[in-house]
Amino acid sequence: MEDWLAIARGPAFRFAIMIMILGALRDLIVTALSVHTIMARAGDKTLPLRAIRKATLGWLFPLEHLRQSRVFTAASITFHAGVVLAPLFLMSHVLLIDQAIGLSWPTLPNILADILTLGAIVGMTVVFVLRVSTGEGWALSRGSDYTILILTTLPFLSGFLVMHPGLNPFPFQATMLVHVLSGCLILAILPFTKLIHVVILPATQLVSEAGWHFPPDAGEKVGAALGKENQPI
Amino acid sequence: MNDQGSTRLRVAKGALWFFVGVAAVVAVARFLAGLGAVTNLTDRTPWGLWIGFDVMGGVALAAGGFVIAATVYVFRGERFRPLLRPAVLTAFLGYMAVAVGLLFDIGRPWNIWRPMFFWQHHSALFEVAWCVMLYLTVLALEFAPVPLESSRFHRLTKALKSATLPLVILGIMLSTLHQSSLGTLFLIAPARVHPLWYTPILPVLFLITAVGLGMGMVIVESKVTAWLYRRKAEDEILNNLTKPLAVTLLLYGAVRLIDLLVRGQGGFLFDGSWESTLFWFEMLISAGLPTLLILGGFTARSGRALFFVGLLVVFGFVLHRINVGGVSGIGLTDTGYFPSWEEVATSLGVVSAATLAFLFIIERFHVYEPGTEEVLAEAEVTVDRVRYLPPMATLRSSTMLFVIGASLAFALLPDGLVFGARPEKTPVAGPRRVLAELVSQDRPPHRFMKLDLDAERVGGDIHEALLLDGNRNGEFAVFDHDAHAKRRGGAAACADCHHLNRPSDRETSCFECHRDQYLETDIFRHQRHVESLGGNGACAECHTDLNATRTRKNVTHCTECHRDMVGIGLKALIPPPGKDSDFHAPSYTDAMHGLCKKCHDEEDEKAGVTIPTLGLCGTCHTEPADLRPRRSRTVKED
Repeated sequence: MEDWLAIARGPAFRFAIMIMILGALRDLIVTALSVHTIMARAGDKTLPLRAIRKATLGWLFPLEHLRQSRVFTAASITFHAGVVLAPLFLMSHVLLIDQAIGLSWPTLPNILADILTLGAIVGMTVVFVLRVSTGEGWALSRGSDYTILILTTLPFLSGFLVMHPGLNPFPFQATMLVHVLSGCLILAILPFTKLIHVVILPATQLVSEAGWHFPPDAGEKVGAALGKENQPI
Repeated sequence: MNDQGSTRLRVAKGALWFFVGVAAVVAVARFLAGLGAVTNLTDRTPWGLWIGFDVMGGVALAAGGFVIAATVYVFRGERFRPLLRPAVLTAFLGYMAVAVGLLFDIGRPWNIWRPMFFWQHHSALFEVAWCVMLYLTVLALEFAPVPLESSRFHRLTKALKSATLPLVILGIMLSTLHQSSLGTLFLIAPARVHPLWYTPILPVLFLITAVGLGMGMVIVESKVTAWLYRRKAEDEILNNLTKPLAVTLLLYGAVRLIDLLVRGQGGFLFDGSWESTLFWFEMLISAGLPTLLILGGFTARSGRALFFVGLLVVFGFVLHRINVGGVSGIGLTDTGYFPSWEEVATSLGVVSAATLAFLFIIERFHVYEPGTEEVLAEAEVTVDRVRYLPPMATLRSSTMLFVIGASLAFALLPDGLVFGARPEKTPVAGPRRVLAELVSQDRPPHRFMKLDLDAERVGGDIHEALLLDGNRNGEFAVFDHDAHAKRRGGAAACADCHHLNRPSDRETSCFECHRDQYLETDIFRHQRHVESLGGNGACAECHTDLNATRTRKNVTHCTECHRDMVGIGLKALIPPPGKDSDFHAPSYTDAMHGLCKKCHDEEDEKAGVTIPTLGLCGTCHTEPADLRPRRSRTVKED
């Protein structure tokens, strides 16, 4: 078990963190190139930047959406707060990073980290239930949405159990292994799934706006407008 | 050529980008940490896979350039002209791969320019270096009109095009020179090449294989790009190559066998060694099988057989060069070299990068004859195969695989490369009890222990002493344990030095905690405590404040349960691990020096000596070299 833990904390973690950093960079570059290509061949080259900025900020701080679907938005905010803050500012994590590469930053009190973690788990459960039970949620969701939600819960559940061994019915090291491996998995799939919104969320409104800017005579030359000229149908 | 739509092309490019990703990380490690960190090369086998495959193989694969150029321009084989541009491009990229491979392989790559200015006429490598430089330049000039013809530089393009013939002749000259001089290179190392491969006519053999390889490579590259881009392959033209190829292969086989017999080395052919097996395997795939397939008419009938023949020739002759370049010598030099995964990854990455560059260029410039493109694609248009590809689909999948490859390599690199080098683990063994003679020196406080196995017979001041050499390298200190105990005050003074015991032990020796000669040792076994105390519920036994982050520094101290671990009420010279310790014992070397030197310095100070005498290295590391026990001499084990 200790050997497995050593692999999870060593090579597996290195793989995950590297793939997250490089993958996120790659996505930023590819997104920028895409927008550039689209705009270069567009007929209408003006972008409503002010509206884009407003929409982006509206989704970054979704307070106004609270009015529309109160429970969902509240659960989602709780969930996101916990998912971002708890792992980044947990003292145990900062200590590990300090030991490995000598970097450290201020940490949260453990009790607050506990509350955030539990909030994240509860928030995720509510979001999951609402996705399944409401008509719009069900219609918009794909298999990957559910899978990723459950996967994201795993490191938080196991992390909470690791922090509170008194409440943990499973062996300590096995719980730790699940915690580390599921955390690595989340980092590693981040650049290739919807989780990439962590990095490119500020660009989503811009990308979808740019996507509606077609080349001139796009109507007559649909294939060329979509950049799919001479391709098999 | 359109790069969208073809799944096989995207898969192929993805795989190539993956290898480039792996190699990119290895390259960073190689240039930051040096050759020793990523390769299995040693001073005895300084030439490994990178020379054998990248350099020897890269030069070999480039042979298509001069072979086709000679055929078209010198022998007026106009029908082969469609093969010319791809062949020259392959040659150019092959030589680029050689140059990059050399940058990796040279110990001090920043000195690679030196042969240009510092001429060493006696060096075979000097000639090789110049050939590579000149031929690379010639190839660049020879190929330059292709990317330039669609640019604004019409006059330059025209000038280059008019210089084609002289360039081609220069290229053929340099190429024949270089291909054969690679063979010459190994003539100066007869002890490193097996007799089945070593022959004074190696230069001639390399020239013949270069011609064969050139034709094989042209076939392979034409067939592969045809498959990738759904292009119509130049089968009729390629079939015209098979006859000269068969002649070359037959000539090669005959020359090799006759040479072996003439040199009287025929006995090695059937001696059952793995070298003889390797020789026959190499001969079979490079010369035997392809010749049979061509003369049997298979290649004329089937495009696949043609591709297979090309592949066999390429693999066979590259294998020949790798064998000359090192593999055949492994048995002779008895070094047991096998390339590390980093070496393999780098070679794959360099070849992949060259291939990607090849694809990039043929997609953008007029390399293949028009009219051959997308011939098959028309037939494959079906309404059923609707599949949405996002813009820049190839770029997306390629960069993704690059990222995965790079991350994988980063994960697999040894820890020492990522976090900085650490000494290797050197487990420590306990001291040995020996007889030694106490010798007084002129200056008063100096009393040396001299190891002397014959001491009892000779007489003198004989003591039982401990040999302290934890790593058993023979560089020991001789330590008179009993005299020290007596001097410090008998049994009551044990805890002066033995500052920590294992639980339920009263005389734990230093090496039982300081278990590595140069590294710290973790002396606390967490899992053992978890198990013996009863699992998760027992955490609170030591981690009394379960709400705090549990570290080793905020736990119940060992001695609160194991009361016998330190001598209570006694003052140790080095304090035992306290509340803020993380229970990592310093290395054996540090522990010994820390303890002995501290006390010896204090004694010096008490005696009022300003220059340290007792605290000098020689006080403990004493005996002259001639008194050190020989390795074979047995010493009484404690």
